[in-house]
Amino acid sequence: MAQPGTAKNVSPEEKAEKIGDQVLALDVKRVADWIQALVRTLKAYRMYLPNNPTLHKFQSDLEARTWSCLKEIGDIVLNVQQFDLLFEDYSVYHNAAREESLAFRFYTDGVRQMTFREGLEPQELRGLLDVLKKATDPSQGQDDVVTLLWERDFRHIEYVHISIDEIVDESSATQDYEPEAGAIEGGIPWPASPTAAEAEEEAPRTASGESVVERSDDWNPKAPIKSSWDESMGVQFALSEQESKTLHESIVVEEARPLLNEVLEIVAAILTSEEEPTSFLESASAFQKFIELALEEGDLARANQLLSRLRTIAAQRAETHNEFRGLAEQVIREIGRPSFLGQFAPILNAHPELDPGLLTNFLVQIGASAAGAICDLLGQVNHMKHRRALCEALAISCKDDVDVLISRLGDPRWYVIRNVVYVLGRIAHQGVERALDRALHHEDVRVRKEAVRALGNIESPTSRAFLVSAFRDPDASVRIQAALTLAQRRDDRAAQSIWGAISAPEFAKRDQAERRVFFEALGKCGSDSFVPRLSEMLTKGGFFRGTNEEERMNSALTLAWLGTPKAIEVLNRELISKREPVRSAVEAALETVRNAASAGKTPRRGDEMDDDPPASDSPPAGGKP
Amino acid sequence: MSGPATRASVPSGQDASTQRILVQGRNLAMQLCVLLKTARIHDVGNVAFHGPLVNFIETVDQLYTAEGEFKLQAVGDFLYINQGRLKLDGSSYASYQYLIDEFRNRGLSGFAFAGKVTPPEVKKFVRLFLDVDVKASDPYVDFSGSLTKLSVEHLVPLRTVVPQSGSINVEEARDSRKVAKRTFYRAIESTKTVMLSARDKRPVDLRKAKRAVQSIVDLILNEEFSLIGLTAIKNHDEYTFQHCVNVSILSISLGQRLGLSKKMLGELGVAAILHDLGKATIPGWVLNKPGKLTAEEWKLMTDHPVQGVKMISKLRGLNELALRAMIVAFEHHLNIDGSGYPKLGDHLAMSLFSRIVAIADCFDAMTAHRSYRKTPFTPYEALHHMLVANKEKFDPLLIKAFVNTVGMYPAGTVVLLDTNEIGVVTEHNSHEIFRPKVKIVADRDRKHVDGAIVDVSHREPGSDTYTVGIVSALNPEEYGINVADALT
Repeated sequence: MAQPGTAKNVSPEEKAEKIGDQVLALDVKRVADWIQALVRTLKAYRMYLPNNPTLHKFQSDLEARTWSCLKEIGDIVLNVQQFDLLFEDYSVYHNAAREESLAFRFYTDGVRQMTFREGLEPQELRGLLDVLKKATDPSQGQDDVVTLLWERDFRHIEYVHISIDEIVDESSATQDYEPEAGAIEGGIPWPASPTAAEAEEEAPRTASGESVVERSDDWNPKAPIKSSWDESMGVQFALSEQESKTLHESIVVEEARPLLNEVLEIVAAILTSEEEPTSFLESASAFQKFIELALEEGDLARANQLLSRLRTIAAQRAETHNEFRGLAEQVIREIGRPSFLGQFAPILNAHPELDPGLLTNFLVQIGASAAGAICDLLGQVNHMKHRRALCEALAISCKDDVDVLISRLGDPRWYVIRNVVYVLGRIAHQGVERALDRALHHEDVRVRKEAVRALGNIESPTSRAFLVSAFRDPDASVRIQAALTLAQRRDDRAAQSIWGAISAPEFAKRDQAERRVFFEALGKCGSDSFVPRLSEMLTKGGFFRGTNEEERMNSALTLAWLGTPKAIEVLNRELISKREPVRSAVEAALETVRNAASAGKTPRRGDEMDDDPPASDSPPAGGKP
Repeated sequence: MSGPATRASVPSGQDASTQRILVQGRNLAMQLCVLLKTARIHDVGNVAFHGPLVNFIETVDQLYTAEGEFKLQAVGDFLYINQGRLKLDGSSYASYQYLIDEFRNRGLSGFAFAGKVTPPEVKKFVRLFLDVDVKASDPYVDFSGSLTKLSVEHLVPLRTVVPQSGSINVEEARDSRKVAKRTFYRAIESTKTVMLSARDKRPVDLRKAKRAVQSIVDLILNEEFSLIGLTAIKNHDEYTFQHCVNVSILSISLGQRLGLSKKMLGELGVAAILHDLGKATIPGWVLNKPGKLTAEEWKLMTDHPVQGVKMISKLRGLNELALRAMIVAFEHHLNIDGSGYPKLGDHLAMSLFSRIVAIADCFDAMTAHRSYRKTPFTPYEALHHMLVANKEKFDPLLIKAFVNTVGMYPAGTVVLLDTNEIGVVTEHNSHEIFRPKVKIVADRDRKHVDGAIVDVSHREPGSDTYTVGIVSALNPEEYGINVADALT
């Protein structure tokens, strides 16, 4: 608004110009907001199911903005630049990220202008969103925008595009191809007409007696040709109503044709008929593309089925062509290349519903060659059940060769290392203890804890030694984990190690909860040999002499967990002790163990996946021994 | 339109010297185009101008030595060197069109070359040519005067001959023909690019083929100009690619008659363009072998549908379009009666697209020059074979629809009329499949004429009697008729 008194100093032309500028500024903002709404809705399309209320909200907002814009401004003309959409020479959209920029998507396919006409209908707007969705969705192959717009045949949306040659010229992406002189003769000359002499000269000679056949594409007349038609024949070429109906039905059938299945049958038939290794490999590669397509579409069941089918065909053919099996495996290994499997992470993240069992099965079918790529995926996949499936696949695929996994222990991402350590623990391959020891000294406590668990799965003196060394870990949770893990071995050597830790001077400095877990661990793996020492701790002190009540409680608990006749004898004896602290300690210990037993589980505090972080920094929970 | 007119074109089978002149004429036109385009960017004194200049002068020299004074002229949408029409193909189309437009803007039909030219003379000529004010009332007069003033004597401008009647309609018709031809030749170029890329295992940009097909579909849907007529002009040099485009046009036309949606027509058109992609893997000597094929050669030949599937599978993205194209590539040599190839597994019924393409493929292939057959079938003969001798091979309903699409005397058929005139069918009448539109090319005395287009379905006013009728189809070679002239 002009301030009072200032109008006098402005000429009518300037005033008009100023008003014009304000109107333009308003229009530019309107269009920019509208495009933003379009982009938001497009994102919502990818995130929500079609019946989601949030998506409906976005759609309604977009529609309201669209009609309002067209009503206020009239036809909207947007000029397309590489990363910008311009309205009246002002940028109303800018996004330089090539993978997601709407402007860039239009620009690369040659669209240079878009016009939205007044009268744009709701179904056209939805159609446009559909076009944009297809054009920007990598899983749909990012179809050509011009083709998508052309197919829709919008009445109120027009577009101007340049030819593909001009796009190429502009981007200088590729050089125009100039076939060398004679190049065409080398490959696709059909049916260029060299002289008969030339053809005979070039063609290999026919071996004597070799069979010859007619040209496939020749149509020799079998009947004499009349020089004119009898017009009365016209009737037989007129399509009857029934025939027209039949043709119409065949169009409907064609539209609904299960194209993918049909093509798969064709490719499978071709593969089954191949005789030469190179041809077999080529056909198997075509099969591979369909497997990859299934994966890109998140159809794991189909991907599994196709993989199995490829193997089955190769196995059948191997009866006569032994090398075909190896060629099929070569193709299958190719699917596990990091450049391809790496693209799978966004698909997994977008489809939490994907069956982890199918995922594991598929990855296992690809084999150990995919291990590196699967490790990469571990760092990118958000859903825990998918990570678990990936780990499961690694545990199976790398059973006989853990080198890839060990090499991944140097990954800069702690959560990847943690998952790999978990897998190593699942495999429990003797000889990986040293690698796990490295993880035992990782700066992140979660990795160290996982390393303790993994070592727990390996039955070897080395793993035992490394577990005991974890008692000196600076973090209490790792020490606790080590004690519980060692206790699971339920042997006297484990108990001796735990007793050693309990007896060490620094043990007294640990916090109360940790001390209690160590005693419990001792109770779970110890034997009668510890009963005298525990009994002494339980009854230590007299009526008038003070003692460590916490130690008394822990020793009672340890005896209760030991549960041997000798231990129970001590507890029964002290249950009627005249010394109330001793009696109370025994009563509390028995209560604790009874509760744990009735709950059907042993206390597992240290065994839980504590501080399990969200998203990609979490290892697979559950499925652990 | 007058001028050198249709009779000036050289019928196929002309002698070697005529062919040589046509080749040199093509070079001349292409070089003149390069010369003018270079001069738009660089001064004529620039070193970049030197190469094109030398080439141009050399060609003029050769032509003058062989022919004496000669002319390069634009008539309609074609360039002529003396009486010979320069053959139009995908790679020359843009250059020829550039020259025709540049000539037209200056009120010129072309130039007479009255002697050997020198570099200074050509430089002066080019400068003046580009400096002509095309908005002047008569640019020809200005240009001609300037050339005389600067003593450019061996390059004589020729004035445009103005069409006599119906200028607006003539222009409109010419424009729609021009658009159709441009679409047609661009489609051939795009097909060439796609096929050569696939053959050389380079990335294939299918967008080119898609866009070309989209233009074809738009033209067919708008019924602006019959593209079917253009399919009857067989250009031997580019025929491999033209065949694919022809099959695409015929398939789309048939698809349109059936009522396919625009999207499906687009997919059908691209699938048709790619139907023979697998032939890229067959050695030339097999494809062009004049005689019968050995078992091994036959195996190679019959493997091309399979090779096509493999090649299409390598294209980026396996969307609906690619899947349809793979099915068509695989099935287009299968026949409805169970014959044909390849025979693999228990293949299900042929798709509608494949049945359409099989018909279009057969029709176009029969009318093409083949290394193993001296003369191609005429479109009439081809249709006859398909309807009579080989009818069991095709879908009976689709073949009916095809007849209704191309007519019983398809474009390119030479016919004898009951007026004793000879004409070339240019377009069929969908309401009267036996009575197409015919361009008269020879009068009743068998003299070549650039005659009118006669609608054979036309009746006497107030009567059921047709004004003219077809007596029989003729073999064009027996009458020395160049079908292409009548169709373009």
